[in-house]
Amino acid sequence: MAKINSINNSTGALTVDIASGDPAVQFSINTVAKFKIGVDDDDSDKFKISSGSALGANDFFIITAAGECTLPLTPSFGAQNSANDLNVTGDSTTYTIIADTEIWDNGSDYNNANGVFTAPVTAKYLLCGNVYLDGLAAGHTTVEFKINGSNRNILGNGYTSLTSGVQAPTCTNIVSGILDMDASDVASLEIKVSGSTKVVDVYGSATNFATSFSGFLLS
Amino acid sequence: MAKQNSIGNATGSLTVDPGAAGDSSLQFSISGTPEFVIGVYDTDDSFRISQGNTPAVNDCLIVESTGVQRRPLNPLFAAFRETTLSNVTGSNNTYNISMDGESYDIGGHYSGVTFVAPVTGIYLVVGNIQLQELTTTHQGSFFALLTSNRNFRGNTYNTTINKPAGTMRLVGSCLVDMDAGDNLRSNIRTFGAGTNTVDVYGEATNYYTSISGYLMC
Repeated sequence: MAKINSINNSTGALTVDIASGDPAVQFSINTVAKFKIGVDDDDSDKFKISSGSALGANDFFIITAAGECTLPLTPSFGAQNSANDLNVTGDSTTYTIIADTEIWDNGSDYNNANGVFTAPVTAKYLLCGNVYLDGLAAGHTTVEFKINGSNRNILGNGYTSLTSGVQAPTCTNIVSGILDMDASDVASLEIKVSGSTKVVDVYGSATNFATSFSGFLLS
Repeated sequence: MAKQNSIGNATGSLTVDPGAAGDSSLQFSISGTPEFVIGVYDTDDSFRISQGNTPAVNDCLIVESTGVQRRPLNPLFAAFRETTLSNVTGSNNTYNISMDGESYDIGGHYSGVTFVAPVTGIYLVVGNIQLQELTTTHQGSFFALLTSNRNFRGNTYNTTINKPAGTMRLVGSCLVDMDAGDNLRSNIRTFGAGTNTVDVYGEATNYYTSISGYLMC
């Protein structure tokens, strides 16, 4: 005979056990299924917390048998610039980098048409960016790379007012940090090269993160 | 009288209460085999999701009474160079950076040069390197984090003017998509000279040359 769900008052443990299928607990309000927690028998016995009435449909928290935790629905994005953007800065023009190819975008909070990430909820976000510059010349003296956020900016590595000029013709700049964002706040990558003419390119690659922007809701 | 485990159909709440000291938990089993247990660990009143049938043995998620959350079994590693590698690049040689020290490696997914993703997910990866013995004959260096799906270009320089000599530090960090079984490693390529005379610096105390990663989601 298959075991049945049981409440053991002597040990304090409540056991959900079935012969096969998903042992689970359903949380509903007025008969509308809101969340379900339990073990997904059809998916390698992973522990899941899912919205709705079924495990495996809208899983937002998963633990594998090895203890690895994933959060498939947590806001997260990664995008790369797929082609070169020519002559966008060099004369102190501030250029907003548009990583136009999304690799992933859980929640659809990143806009690959304008390079802007919009925070879906008030939280702390880990943001990472890099830019590969080409066309730098001897006259360029300043490279400023940053994450421009609604509340504050994060500055990446660069050069400021070098009397000898920056390295030329190429360099890669990096920026990363944890940014406090309110719901609907925005963040984007900006590059500004100064000191000479507008001949500096933002490099792009269809396959790699040569120039990219990514983010993740931390807490 | 102490509360007992109960299902309150009137309030919609399901209460698990041992009625005395002890863990208050909910066990999920399949055909008698305990898979996961969730509940409150009486010792510190933390909420835990654990493998098997005992809280605090194989905890996957711990939410402390202060609200601090930890995932003790989540893949996480940090490896670094304890010793300097001599003459590995300089003549356009691409060198896959091997690490001879590990600070931690939860799950045991990093070995020597490569981290292997245990599950499909988004990973935070961070790397850095200190190059030594650069001379004015060297024109540039490219530091990269490489995965099976795509590569990430870290700090680079490629210059015909203002060539730096001596020591240089390059960094890279990104979120990257990895499928189960995909590889991650870092490499360095310095060019401009005829022979490989550039060193990758390492020391036992600090992370001058390292790579680390964490499964984010």
